[in-house]
Amino acid sequence: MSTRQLKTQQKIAQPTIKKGVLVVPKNSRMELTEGAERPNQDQEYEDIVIETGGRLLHTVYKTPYKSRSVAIAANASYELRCLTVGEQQIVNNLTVELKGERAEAHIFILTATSGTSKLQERIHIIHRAPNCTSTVLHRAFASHESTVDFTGTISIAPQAKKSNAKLTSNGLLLSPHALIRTRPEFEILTSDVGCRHGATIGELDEAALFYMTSRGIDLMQAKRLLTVAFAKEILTGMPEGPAKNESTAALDYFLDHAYAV
Amino acid sequence: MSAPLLSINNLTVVKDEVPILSGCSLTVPKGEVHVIVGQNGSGKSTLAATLAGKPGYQITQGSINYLGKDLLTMTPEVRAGEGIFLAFQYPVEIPGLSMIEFLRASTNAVRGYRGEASLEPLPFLDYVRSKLKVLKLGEQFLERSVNDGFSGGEKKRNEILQLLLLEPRLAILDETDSGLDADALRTVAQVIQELRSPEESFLIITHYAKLLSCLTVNRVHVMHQGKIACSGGTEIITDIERHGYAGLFASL
Repeated sequence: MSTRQLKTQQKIAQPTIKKGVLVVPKNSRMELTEGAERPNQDQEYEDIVIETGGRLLHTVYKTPYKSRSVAIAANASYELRCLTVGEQQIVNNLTVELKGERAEAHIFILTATSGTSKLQERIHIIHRAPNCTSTVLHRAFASHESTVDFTGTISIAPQAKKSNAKLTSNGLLLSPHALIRTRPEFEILTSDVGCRHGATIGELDEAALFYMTSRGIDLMQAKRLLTVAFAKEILTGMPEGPAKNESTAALDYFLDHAYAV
Repeated sequence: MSAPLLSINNLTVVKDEVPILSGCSLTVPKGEVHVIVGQNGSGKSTLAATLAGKPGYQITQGSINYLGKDLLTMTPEVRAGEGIFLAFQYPVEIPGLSMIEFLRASTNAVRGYRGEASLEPLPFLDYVRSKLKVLKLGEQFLERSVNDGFSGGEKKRNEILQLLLLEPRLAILDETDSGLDADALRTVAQVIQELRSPEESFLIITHYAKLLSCLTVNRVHVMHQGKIACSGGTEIITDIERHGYAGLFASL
């Protein structure tokens, strides 16, 4: 397994690296960005451990994480915003284990693929302790002849009573030649849990396009505003900084070229 | 009577292979307020959607002349630029698109079509604030996503806000009064009265006499089976309230 480059955007706590594992210490808060051009702060890691009461706000863009596991202890939380924009061949596998009571994981994935990209995203959240919460929101734009394959699985172990989990995947096809496959899955091995999932794949809403054009907005601008709106829920949650600026610029560039077949 | 702003001649419209309008003819002169009433399914909303250029409505016969031009050859955005405005019966929700962004995009698009300069964010904010005031809407309204999570009344007021911003020549209000409380209804009537000018016309589709009691109306048209069955003054509304549509048609 290859190591990853870590670039610290805002350090409230110092990351600890032990044998390629990033550790968020007990009761500390950390913000990390992978993909930002910030020299002299590089460290290497592959997997992540968040100790009791720790909190990690994690942004990944430009670079795929390929294969990663995250272990979250009691009262700790992990929030990931992962953006993939452009023409790429990527297979991402993420496994998140909620190991202690009241642990939380919130995963937001936005992909905007073009050309002949092939993108596979696999997210597996495992609830191993009671009273844990997880959300997965996956949004995909596919243009040109790109292919997106998303599998989101949430497993609730027998001891993970009162788990709360939500898994949503929305795909937007921007070309008749693009392909999106999505599989939201739940494996529930206990009772007394709250689990919801939903998946949609479609084209831009014709009713919304008409509403906008009836207000004088030309069709291309209307499509652009709608696609940006689709991405906004994930983009607006990103911390301000170079990652957000570069992601927004990359998405703008993508949308400028998205409708050309 | 002033020069016609809109002339619909013998219009037949088919949707999903079902004829909805069958030989509909209607003229709206400049500066007048016309009202269309009719039973559910009589074709009122189809006429409104056709005027705004909604896709999926096939014109199999007839013509629509607007300010001397063939309206049916224009795209929806060109119609908006030319001054057609449809206040939707069911405004569309667009999660993620803020009201301020949407309103500025639409205002500047229409201004651009008319050869007017775009409004930068700050002058636009001043402009929109003045319109919010008219409708007694708070500024936080602008931060919300378009129609997302709005109450029925808020959606209708949002349509009127857009009407105020875009300053159309022909405003078509498709049951804008449905779902409005008495105060909001009075505000909408005031807006229409204030916007009335020798150049600006209104086509109001409604089921209720209440809005009409606050307005000076030039003509009332009754739509039946896809065409205008009869036209007259507001006494038609009184007839319908007393005898129903069946009574009205029996007396024709």
